[in-house]
Amino acid sequence: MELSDSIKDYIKRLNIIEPEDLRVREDGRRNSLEINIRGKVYRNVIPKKPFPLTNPQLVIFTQKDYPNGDICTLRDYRLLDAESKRCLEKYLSKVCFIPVIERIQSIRYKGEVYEWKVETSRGLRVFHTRGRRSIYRFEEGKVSITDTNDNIYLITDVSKLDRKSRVELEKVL
Amino acid sequence: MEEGSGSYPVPDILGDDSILRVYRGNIDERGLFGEVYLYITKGSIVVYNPRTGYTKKVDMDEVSSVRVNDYLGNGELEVEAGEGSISLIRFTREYMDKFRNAANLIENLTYYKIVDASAVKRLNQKETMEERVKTQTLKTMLTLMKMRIKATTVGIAAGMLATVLGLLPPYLMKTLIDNVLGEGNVSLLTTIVLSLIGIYAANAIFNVVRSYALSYAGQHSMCDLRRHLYRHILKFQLDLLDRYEAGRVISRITDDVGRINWFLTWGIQSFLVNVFTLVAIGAILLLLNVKLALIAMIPVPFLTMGIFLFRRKARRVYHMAWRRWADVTTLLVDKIPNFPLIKAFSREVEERRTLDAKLREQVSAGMNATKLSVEFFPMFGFTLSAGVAIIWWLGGMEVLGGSLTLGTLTAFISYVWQFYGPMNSLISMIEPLQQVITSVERINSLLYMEPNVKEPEKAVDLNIRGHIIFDNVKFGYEPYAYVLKNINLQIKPGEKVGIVGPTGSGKTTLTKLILRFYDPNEGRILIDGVNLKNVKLSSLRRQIGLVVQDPPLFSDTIANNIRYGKPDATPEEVMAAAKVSQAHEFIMKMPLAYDSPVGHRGSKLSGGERQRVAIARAIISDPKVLILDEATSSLDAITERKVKEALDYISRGRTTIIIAHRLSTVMDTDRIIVLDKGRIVEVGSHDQLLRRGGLYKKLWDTQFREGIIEVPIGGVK
Repeated sequence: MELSDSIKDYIKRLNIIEPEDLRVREDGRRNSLEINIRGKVYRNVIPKKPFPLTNPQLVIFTQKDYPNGDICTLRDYRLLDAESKRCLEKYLSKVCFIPVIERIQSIRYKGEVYEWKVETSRGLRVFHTRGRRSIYRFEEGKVSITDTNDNIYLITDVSKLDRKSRVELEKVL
Repeated sequence: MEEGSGSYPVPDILGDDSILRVYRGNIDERGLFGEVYLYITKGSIVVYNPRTGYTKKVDMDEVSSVRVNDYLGNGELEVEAGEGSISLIRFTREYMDKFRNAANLIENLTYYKIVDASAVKRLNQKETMEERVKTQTLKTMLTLMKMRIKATTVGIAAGMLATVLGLLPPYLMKTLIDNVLGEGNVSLLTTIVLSLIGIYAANAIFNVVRSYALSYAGQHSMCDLRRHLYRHILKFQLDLLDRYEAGRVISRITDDVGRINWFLTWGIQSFLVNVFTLVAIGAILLLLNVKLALIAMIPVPFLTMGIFLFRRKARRVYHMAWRRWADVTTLLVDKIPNFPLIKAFSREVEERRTLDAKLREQVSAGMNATKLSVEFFPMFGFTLSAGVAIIWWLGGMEVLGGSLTLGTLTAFISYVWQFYGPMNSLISMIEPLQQVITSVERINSLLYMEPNVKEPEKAVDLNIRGHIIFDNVKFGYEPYAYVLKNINLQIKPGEKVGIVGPTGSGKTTLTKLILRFYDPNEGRILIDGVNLKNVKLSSLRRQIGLVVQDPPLFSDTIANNIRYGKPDATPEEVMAAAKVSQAHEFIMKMPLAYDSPVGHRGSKLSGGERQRVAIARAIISDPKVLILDEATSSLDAITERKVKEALDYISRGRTTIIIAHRLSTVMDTDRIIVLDKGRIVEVGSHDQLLRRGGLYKKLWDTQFREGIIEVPIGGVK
């Protein structure tokens, strides 16, 4: 009996490439990226993070006009050469905008929503959440918060927040 | 109701026949309530009414059929035998299921001429368990207390000490009046005041220790009990949910355990402390003045009876008020979401009247509760105060006569007030204690239940190739009610088999047996030549992928739901599995992609999306056997085609069992098994079965007519 392809064979279809085989540059004219995989150039490319919270270094490259046509997968973009990394991070910070909450000034219950006043990695922000389901606790203290407009915020480690922030967070966790 | 091994009268008519089962009915041959017994032996059925002496005997050989008639307010067990229909026994409706079991047993004995020993054992086990549940309540409560015995002992001891300290101030007051104020002893005044401060401080400390220790004992015991219960229920297969609805299991782990928490943290110590206080104060009163003490105790029986009656009446009245309020809430919950319907039919006036009526009832019930309170509490207070006033008068006379000091009288009165409090507390404990006993019984019913499927100690870890054999398998969820009968089937490694049949024909049950969620009542199932009963359950299930029609997802992220099939799966494996199941595309459109939470039971995903995540979960474990139970039925046509392609691809070389209502789903399989009423009625390829013109052809034609089957390009062969 010959078994069909195992999951390892399916992984081959993800076309996982090594960081040294990839060059990333900005494609300013098309508001996208240009990638070079072992000499083959792809234009109008956008990166996506399939695991933006649990595995943020993993990136998939897709052609902008063919959203279902994944070109390749990169396990850890941090291992790219400096220029490629810079170009990629610049673009990723736009397509995957998840401010990290560094301090919680206050969480107040107002009517049917909670109003959060927070200091994030991208500056001060006030947003609203509704219900406990908008807050999701990952293992190891990571917490994601989705506001009423579907913006996402991240607390990377609750235990590393200052005491006041933790006290505020306990109001809603 | 059923008598497996308990005592029951044995009529002479039974002779030497060995009794298999005895069932008790509660409506006699005249239609009056009363015990009537039904005895089933291998050779006969006997009915006996011990009160009237009525008997009826039917030979098993004469019985051609048996049924339970479901009437208004009662039921009847009836057999067709000899000259016609015979009504054997009648019973009220709560016994309906039991007599259905009796009917199944009789059918089994008359049709198959055999006694299913495992089924009798299952029934008897159930009864033994029910008996154990009732007798083990106290034992369970003591075990719970022992679980954190140190903390419990510390808590109770602290409570006792706090109570003892609470008894001292009135005595100090006596000293203050008699020795300080009477004799002008200033140094003693300082000593008394400092003693009082010390007593109050120590009292506060003991109360803190008591509360903390008992709460610690309660919380940790509850945690242990919940953990133990959860571990216990995880030992079960699907038979747990056959016996208990999921909600009932949850209620035992949450509500019932919570009630026991009250017993451990508050109930035990409250009972002991109150009894102790009553005895101690009673003794002090007698020591201070026997005559006054006996007078003070005159109201006790009246007050006890009064409190008892009040509580009984209050329970009824407050429950009524609560139910009336629930009626109002239910009405609002029902009506407000249906607001458009009310408007569309212009029913505002009627709806207003309905709510007005409910509100009036609610106000009336609320006022009844108020009336009860205003009637009882002033009366209660007056009785106490009058009793104390009489003691003041009698004691005052003694003080004036010089036989009693003023300090003693004051202390006495103070103790009398303290005496009535514990009485009230003890009586108020009766109801919650009854609830605790019920909760312990409910928890025991779960704890003493034994799983039907057990793994032998020497179970083997099998590397499955996928050769499955059903050898004369017979199975029923209920004893004697067989869902699968005499199943003989061989599925070769790598073969793709479709299973079809009308609703209730036993298709899904067949796959549940392969996964060993249940064991067959008779016959055996072999996998690669090894009896399933000898294979480690974890080894078996790790190598079988199951996708069902409405797949359950956990309230977790998409990635973790896929990873449930292989906890150590890498992100790349997760993505690969999702790509194969055509889930990757929609997942990447979600804000957090694979890190997106799916909500309660996957509520944030559509039915088709849930299905594709479940398929990915099955694929990621790289199963040797794949079971698809209506796996693509909730997908739209385009997605179904995509998923079907993926499943066709991954099922190559794997033993694959596809259960489908839609015959087009299985027409390409190597072999199709057609089930009807628990039996295999046809086996063959799609073309062979169509040519045969049997049940499959009939189903095909029906689905074709109803448009369930799309005409394949090139027409039907």
